[in-house]
Amino acid sequence: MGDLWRSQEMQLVQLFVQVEAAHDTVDELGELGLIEFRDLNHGVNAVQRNFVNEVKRADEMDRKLRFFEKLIKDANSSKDLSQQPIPIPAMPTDGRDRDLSMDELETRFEELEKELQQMNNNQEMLNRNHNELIELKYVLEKDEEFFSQAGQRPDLDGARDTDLLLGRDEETFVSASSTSGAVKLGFVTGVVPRDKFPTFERVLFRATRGNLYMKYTEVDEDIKDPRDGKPVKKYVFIVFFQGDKLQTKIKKICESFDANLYPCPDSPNERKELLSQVNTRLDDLRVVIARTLEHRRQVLFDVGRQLSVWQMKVRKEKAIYHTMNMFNYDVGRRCLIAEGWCPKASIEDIQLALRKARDRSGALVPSILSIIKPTEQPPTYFKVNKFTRAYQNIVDAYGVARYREINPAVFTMVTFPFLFGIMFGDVGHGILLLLATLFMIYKEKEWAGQELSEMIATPFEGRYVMLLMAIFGIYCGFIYNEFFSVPMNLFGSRFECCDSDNLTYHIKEGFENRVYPIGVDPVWKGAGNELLYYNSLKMKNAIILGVIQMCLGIFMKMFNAIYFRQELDLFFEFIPQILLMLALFGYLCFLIVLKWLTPFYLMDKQEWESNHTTPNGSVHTFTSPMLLNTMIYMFLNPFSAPEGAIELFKGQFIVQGILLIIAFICVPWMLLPKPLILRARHNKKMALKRAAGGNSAHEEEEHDDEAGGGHGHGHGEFDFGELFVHQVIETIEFVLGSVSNTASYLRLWALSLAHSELSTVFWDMGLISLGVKNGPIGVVIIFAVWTGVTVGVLLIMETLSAFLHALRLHWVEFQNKFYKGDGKKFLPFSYERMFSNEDE
Amino acid sequence: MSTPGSLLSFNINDGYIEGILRGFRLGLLSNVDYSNLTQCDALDDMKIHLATTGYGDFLENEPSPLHTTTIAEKCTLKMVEEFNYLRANVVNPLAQFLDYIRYGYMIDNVVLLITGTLHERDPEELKEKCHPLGLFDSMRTISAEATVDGLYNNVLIDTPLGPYIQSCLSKEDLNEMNIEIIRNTLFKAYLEDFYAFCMKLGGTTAEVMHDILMFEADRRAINITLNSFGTDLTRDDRAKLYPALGILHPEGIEKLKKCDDADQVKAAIDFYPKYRDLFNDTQFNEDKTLEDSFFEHEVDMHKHSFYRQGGYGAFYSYFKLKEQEIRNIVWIAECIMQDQKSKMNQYIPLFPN
Repeated sequence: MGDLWRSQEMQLVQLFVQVEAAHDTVDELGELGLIEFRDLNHGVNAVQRNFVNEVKRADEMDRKLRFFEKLIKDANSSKDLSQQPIPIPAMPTDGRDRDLSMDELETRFEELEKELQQMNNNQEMLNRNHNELIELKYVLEKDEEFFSQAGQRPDLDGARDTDLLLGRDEETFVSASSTSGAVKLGFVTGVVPRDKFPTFERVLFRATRGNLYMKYTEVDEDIKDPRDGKPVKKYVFIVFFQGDKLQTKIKKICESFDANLYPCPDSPNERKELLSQVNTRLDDLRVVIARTLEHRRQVLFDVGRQLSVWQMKVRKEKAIYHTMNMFNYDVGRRCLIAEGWCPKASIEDIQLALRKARDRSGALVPSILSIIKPTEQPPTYFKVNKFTRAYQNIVDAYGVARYREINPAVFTMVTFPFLFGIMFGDVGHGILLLLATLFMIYKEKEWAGQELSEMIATPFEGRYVMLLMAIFGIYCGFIYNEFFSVPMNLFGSRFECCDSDNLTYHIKEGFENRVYPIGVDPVWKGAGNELLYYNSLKMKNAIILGVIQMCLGIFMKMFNAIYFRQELDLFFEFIPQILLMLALFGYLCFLIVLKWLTPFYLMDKQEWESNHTTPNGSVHTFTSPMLLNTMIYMFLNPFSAPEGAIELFKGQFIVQGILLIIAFICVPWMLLPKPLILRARHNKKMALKRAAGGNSAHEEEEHDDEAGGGHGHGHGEFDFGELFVHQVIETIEFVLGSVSNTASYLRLWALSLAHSELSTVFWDMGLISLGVKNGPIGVVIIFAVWTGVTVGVLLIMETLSAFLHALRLHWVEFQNKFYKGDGKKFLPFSYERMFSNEDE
Repeated sequence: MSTPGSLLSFNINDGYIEGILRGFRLGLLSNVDYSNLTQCDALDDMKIHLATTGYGDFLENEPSPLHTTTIAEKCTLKMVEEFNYLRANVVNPLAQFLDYIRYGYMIDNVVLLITGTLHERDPEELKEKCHPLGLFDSMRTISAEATVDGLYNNVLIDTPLGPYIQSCLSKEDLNEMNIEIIRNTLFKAYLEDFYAFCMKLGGTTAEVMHDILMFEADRRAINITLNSFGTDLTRDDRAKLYPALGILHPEGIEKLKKCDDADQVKAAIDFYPKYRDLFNDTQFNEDKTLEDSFFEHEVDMHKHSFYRQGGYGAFYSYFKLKEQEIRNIVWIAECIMQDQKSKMNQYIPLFPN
């Protein structure tokens, strides 16, 4: 049955590795990814472990790499379109990182970081200068405007007379101050960030008690923050005030608001001169900045090319030392002792890896691998491929299989999509789903490893589940004969419309002995008793499939019992359980099939009634037997036929009586023997132990383990009460469950009914009756609506709900028959796993 | 309107955020964490340890060697992040309650800035020292002010602290003495205001905050008295600084007003068993200062407010506990830096059981 039937056999191995070879050994094993190391230093805190310094070193290097990466990303995110983004290639898989030496890398990183930091500082300084010059430029330009506005065209600002007056004063002051300096009006001008301006203005106003005149205007371009390069909007302002004392105060306030103050010459000529100076300096500075940027880019480009290799190396290194921290360090023999789980079949590979590591490291003493006896349950490991993984995930989501127990994923692979198909059966919808799935499979290579949005990632993960779901949906669609709820008359219906009453159909000529080859005859769709017919069919199907699946589950219990040599489970759980199930519900299935096979319509009513007179002479009218009533009377009235009942087969009521007795016997059979036998064994053992003086403690523990294996309480004290209660619960659960689980399978019918009714409504009521009535435009509009509803409700929501119900049927109805699901997953130390799950 | 703290309606507005808060509370360092931290030999080791706690990789991008200031700064940032998260997700009156928590930090910042300016420190440097929770817009203009009046008129008037300072307005220049008076006046007004607010809220909030603020006020009163000895502060000036609440208020305060040395203080509060015990603690244990005992008592009280359901007290307490935790981390870090291993265990355990 291959790798999936039962989990891989695992072994606990102990490795003795020379300290010198340890690093390479762990590296090789990580490459191999087949061993899960156990933490032997449990309880030792992180700082006191052996290789904490190496981990710290790797951390530090990782930090530097992140720094580089951030710089590159920043450089790429700048809006300068003339420059190509610096590429960061994906992680290589060819093991190029092997040849790198950590020491070299460390010094290299150190140098690079220093260099880049230096560059950043220079850059910041240059930017700062640049900003200052730009700000100065704007201050000069804008001030010029202020002055000229006030001085030459006072009427433009007519609304604010007093301001203007003051403004004219300023102009006179400026010219006056250059000559005499007697007037005590001063001004301060500068640039302040826009978001601080309102408070700034208010504080200034308060500080000067309103004795100031202020003008401001926006700077046309955004000034970049020299530190993080974010654009900041700024205002140029000019404040006029009176007196020296105020000047210091205003300056202080400006300072506290991050306003940059600039000296502004008084006369227009000087201002012009300064402006041209500033402009030339600005041009020079721009050239310098461009050069330094180019140089920085070059450096980052070199870094970028190697970055991912470095990251891989550093992260591997970190992982290696983390792993080594879990090992025991034998100081005397200078070797590390590791313990870990690995698949039995892979011992060879591990040996090979150990040898390779020894050659690589040149250690004198080879590493020793020895198999030790495990004290705990080994982890569960299934070898899955891209197809089986999704199904395994469905099972794992419920619980990871106990070590070596039968894996329900094997059956899930077929039954899950099939049950889904039963609920989703429609050829048209199935084909749409199939197309979507095929598209995802087509895109598989492209999308794999990419970060997808959650909405896409989830179906993409389960694309192979969806593939089978779609195919089974199409198949069941054929069985139900529905294509967007319209029946397909592919092979010619057997019936013809209609007799005189316009309701009864009659069999076509030449079709007397032919039935419709696959699925339901299309004539049923739209017939007066369509629902009755479909319901009966789907309901019975659901029961039959359900019973089959549950019996399958019970048989799996048998296989598990045989495999784990739990004869108690086999004889006192499996056998009564399967008997109970078959006696009641197996019999029901038998009746269903038998009823299908019995041609009631061929029976002559008259003849039947003449043959079936009761002793007291009354005549039963002919009806085909109701199976539900039959089942109920089987309990109420075993051994005798109820009044008016029709025998489906000879001796039916005797058989029913016998079956019922068997079923009743099964209940105490399940309930009593197992706990009683366990108690007897325990008592015997205690007696033996008393006799032997209790020197076989170890053996006893083992025994206990086996006996209580089914309950997970094997190690504890033997507690008969607990055991018995447990068994009572299990018995009740099974007996009641066999009824309720069977009923639960009826959801197959209910959902498929809902699906087909919904699509009929959308088609008939929507598209046909509304659309066609309203002419061509109506058809177009209604068709669009119908498509939307079909995709939204029938494809997406129905898929989800059918998926959910199929999931429940597997998890609850199927798996509770045998599946313990209390194992722990095998999580090997593997680079592949590490890099693929990085975001988790 | 329903009162916050009524179990019936608390969860309508504040249930979610209280859940978040209790989640944060679980992130406080446990005793195991502390014992691990105290075993560290270097700050980088602390970083590794803290990475395994609720602090996560908050130091991830810091180049080593680390400094205690970096650790303190990052821890505080973490706390501020939490505060801002809570603040962004609440509505009144809890929003206002959280704002009251900020006012305390604002007062600290104001005082810090005034002191810094008096000593002519670099404003840039001062800004960095300010607690990020207590930042406000016109804060840095403080350095331009020379008088208390100016401080009020130009800086504090727009802030929530404005009303608090009104009682000590004067034309006097700012000086050392003034600062202390300003600080204590602000705090007195703040505590009284906060207390009134909590009482208005009623319910569990009022019960829990009553105890906490009473203690806060008493501690302030005792500290003011003790710190005033040997300074120019006159008795009358001092009398104005005592908050008008607390267990000591009013009889105990009256006694404190008359105190002239530590022994008199001790005598004054001898009638209050709670504080007497705290005083006695310090006498038996040489290493322990009164401050430490106060802190311990405070931590204990804040822990208890988490046992109460459906009030805002836990919010206040969480940030006080977090603050204490940061003080502890910094203390341990400092001990490591200065190689004072023996003193390392003098941090104040938040959960000493």
